[in-house]
Amino acid sequence: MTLPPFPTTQVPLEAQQANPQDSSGGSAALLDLALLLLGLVLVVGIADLGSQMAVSFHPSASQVRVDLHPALLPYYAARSCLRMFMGLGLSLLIAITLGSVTSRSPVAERLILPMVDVLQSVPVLGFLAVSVPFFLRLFPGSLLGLEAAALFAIVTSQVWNLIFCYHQSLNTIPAELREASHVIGLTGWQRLTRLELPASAIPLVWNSMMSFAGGWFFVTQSEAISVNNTDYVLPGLGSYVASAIAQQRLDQVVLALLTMLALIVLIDQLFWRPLVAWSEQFRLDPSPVATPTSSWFLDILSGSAGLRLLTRWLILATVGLRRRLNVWTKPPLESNSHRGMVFSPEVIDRAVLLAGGMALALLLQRCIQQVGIREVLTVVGLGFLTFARAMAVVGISTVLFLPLAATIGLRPRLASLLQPLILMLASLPANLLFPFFTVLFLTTGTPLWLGCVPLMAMGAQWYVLFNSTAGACAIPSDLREMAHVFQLSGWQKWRRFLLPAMFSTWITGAITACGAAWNASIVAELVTWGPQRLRTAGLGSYIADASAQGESSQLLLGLVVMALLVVSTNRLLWRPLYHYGAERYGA
Amino acid sequence: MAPDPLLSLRHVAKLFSSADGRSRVAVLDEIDLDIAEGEVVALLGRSGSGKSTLLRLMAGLLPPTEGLISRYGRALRGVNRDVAIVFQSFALLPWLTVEENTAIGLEARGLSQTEVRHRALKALAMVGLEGNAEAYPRELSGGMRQRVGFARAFVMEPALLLMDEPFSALDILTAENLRRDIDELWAGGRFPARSIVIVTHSIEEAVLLSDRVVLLSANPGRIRGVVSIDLARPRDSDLPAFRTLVDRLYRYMTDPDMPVGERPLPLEPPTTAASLALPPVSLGVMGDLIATVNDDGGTSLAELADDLVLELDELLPILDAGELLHLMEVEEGQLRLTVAGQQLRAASEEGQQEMLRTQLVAHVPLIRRLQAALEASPRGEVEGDTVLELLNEQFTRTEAAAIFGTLVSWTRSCGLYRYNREQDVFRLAEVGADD
Repeated sequence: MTLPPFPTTQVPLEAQQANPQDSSGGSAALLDLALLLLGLVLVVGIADLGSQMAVSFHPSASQVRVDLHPALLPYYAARSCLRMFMGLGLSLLIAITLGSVTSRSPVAERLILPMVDVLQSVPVLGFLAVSVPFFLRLFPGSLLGLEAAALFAIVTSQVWNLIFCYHQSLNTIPAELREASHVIGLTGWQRLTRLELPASAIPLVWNSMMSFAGGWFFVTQSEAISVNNTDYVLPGLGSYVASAIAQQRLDQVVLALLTMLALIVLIDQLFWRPLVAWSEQFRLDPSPVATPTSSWFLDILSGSAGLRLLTRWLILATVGLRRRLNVWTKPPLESNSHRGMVFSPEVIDRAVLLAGGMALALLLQRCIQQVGIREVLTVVGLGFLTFARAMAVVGISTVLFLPLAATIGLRPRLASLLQPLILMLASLPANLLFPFFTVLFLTTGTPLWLGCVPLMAMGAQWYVLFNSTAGACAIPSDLREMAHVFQLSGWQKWRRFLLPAMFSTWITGAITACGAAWNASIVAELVTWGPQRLRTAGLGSYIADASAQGESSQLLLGLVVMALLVVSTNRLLWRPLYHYGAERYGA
Repeated sequence: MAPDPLLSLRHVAKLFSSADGRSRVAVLDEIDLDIAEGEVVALLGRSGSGKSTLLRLMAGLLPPTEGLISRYGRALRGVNRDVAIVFQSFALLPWLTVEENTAIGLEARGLSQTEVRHRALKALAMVGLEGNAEAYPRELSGGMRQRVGFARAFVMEPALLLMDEPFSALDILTAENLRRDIDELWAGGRFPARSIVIVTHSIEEAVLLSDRVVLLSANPGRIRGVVSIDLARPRDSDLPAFRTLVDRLYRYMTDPDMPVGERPLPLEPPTTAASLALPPVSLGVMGDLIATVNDDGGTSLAELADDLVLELDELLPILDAGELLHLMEVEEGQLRLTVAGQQLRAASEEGQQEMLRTQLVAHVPLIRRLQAALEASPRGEVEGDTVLELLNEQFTRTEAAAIFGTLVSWTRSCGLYRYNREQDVFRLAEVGADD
């Protein structure tokens, strides 16, 4: 979703500026030395890990099992982590490029955005099944193909959301600021670095953080997959857990889970918190607001004289480059920027609709030819089965978490304490938790048709909690006081006060949760523990089977049906509900 | 032969698509205007006169739909490189310091670092902000922020400085101060631009700063006439000559039918298709105004505005509403109540509601059509969408939405119709029924 899930807590810039941390000379030098060492380690480590990406392998040879020695866990964690950051970087690059295009050209906007909207409804793991064979052929005999496929999975899980986010934040730049940048004659480079990137920095950081949290699920999943009857393994936390499952080693799963938790905390402290705190200087709203986000690591970084020198040196060293960039991207003296749209918007909309409809019809026709109408109907039936489970996930998490969200959200101190914790829980890839449930199901004899609902909920539920909490946080204090003074309580308090106030953020959470549940169904309707296998009928297990056995037309059919179901749920259920909420309960 | 004017507009019109996309709404029409070197021109008009649009046409931010805009005799294409703009909302980048904000246009020109810095500091000194170069906009007061806005424009040394209501986001004292500083710079001959065009709705501001006031009519915006201000600078707003000019302009502004100077009214009077527009005020405010008008002889509008502490752009829509309902008349700067208006003032509260309902149905074109539709409907219901579609034919989306909002407010407040937002339906209110 494009909304920052937390009400962004803001920091007055002066507070950061007036914090030069003039510590005594000796400790400052020590600090710089430590930072230098840290930087060196980081560079060497990345280079080393990177070189191992291109290790050769032969898909025909029996796959190397992942070494389950616990001492190797940090190494696996580093490999997964590197993949994640590369994926994020690539996603941001694509999002910024495409977002710039769509915000500059109305034609591109109408062509690209609907496409992105559909693509974001295609289950990410479905992309994986298609992309692994492709990338393997692209990099024959090298592990690079698998790395590329894993990267592809991460990017497809993050990029759509980021494109919308960037596009939207460009569109909400105040009109007068945009006019000012035109009249002043900002060059393209200046416009990007002085206006557009800063103006979208806060939503981009928040969305990246959310997408990154969601990305762990896909990176761990893509490290150990079976496509075309072959198992592929990339060294990483995901494959570690997969091997542990195959060898029925619950203790190793616990160790991997702990490593994962440590990694998430580390990245939060060393990367996201500093970034969030730093990005708060890019607020468009001029009024200074309440509680700043604090980051001890950012304080250290901004206190380092060495780093400051390095930044100054970088700025000076790039003066020439930046000037050249400015010259290259200078707006033309006599621009013809006022060319109207060649086609009216309706024409483009219709063309997109027509092209999409025809492509869909062709696809369906091919599917029906190859697998028969019976199979199509079966798959649609399976789709509704999984749909029911996804809705159950949303429903159950709503009933469970809405009261909790209200409790947390109405207590600001508790909220500021718990919200980062919830975000970390949401980052924990659900598939690492699956083995515990599988063992539980096996020992208690719980059927998977029921059991897969909590499995799907593992990853999805947090979005409901999280967004609803943000909604409760955003209730203005005078309304809270009103509820107290007039002694609202019980059902009346919910119906008249809490539910309307939290409705639109709940919808946002429900949409995301529903999408996550669809994705999870592909791994939740088919789980294994050593040689034991639990399977239940559903669209998710259908896709998983088709992808493992390399039946491409079945796979395609499954993906198309799932994408159609997701798109139509969005259009027919969530979007009307969202608009209803905005109209009825909006300020 | 006279030199080519700095900027010249010939037969310029600007049309926007109506909300339903089928027709076009004229915002500006038949604009003929030259901006010469060394003059200050004020564009004065009520809201809806398209004065801000005209400014954006001059800046090349918008292309004219018809007509020709040229600078120094050459057709203007794209953004006008001779201008700088001072915006109502300041339009500063909050993440850049005062100096960086000022310098950003020079950097775009590719000047050297030292040159950029030197000129930026000079411009900041000119507006009295030399000590605040390192500050961020959010650390400054509104007046200081707008000074940065001026410095950013000055540093470009534009041939033409465009100002879009530059003082209206500031409090009265701050605005006064800044206006005087700008005036002094101009009078002292140190002004870094050769000409100024200022958009304003404040008559005093126009008289204080400009050499010529261009009066615009509304819907569509046309030039009603030009009033020259031949007063010595710096100008004293207490002088009789100043007051006379202000009063004259006041009369023009409050009476849209009054010819300006010798110039005849625009050919077709702007009564496009018994316009469905409603002025954006509440009936309650109009009632309050009616209560303050003298019975006999009428009340001077200038005094009224003073008494009620209303800006002209707040007063004008109230008068429009009163005239639309045939409750008031404005003539020669005097406000009088019609017979209906006097009855309304004397009536009891219930009687007032009753009268308002009658006047609305009798005189407001949009409500007349809605009433007919409601009476024709067997269930006594009309969907809000139907009304909105009607408005969408004639107005842009925002205009249509605003008019719709006013319609709901008017018909609800006097109990003419009931409107339920969830069902989006207008219903005839059953008079006397329990609610």
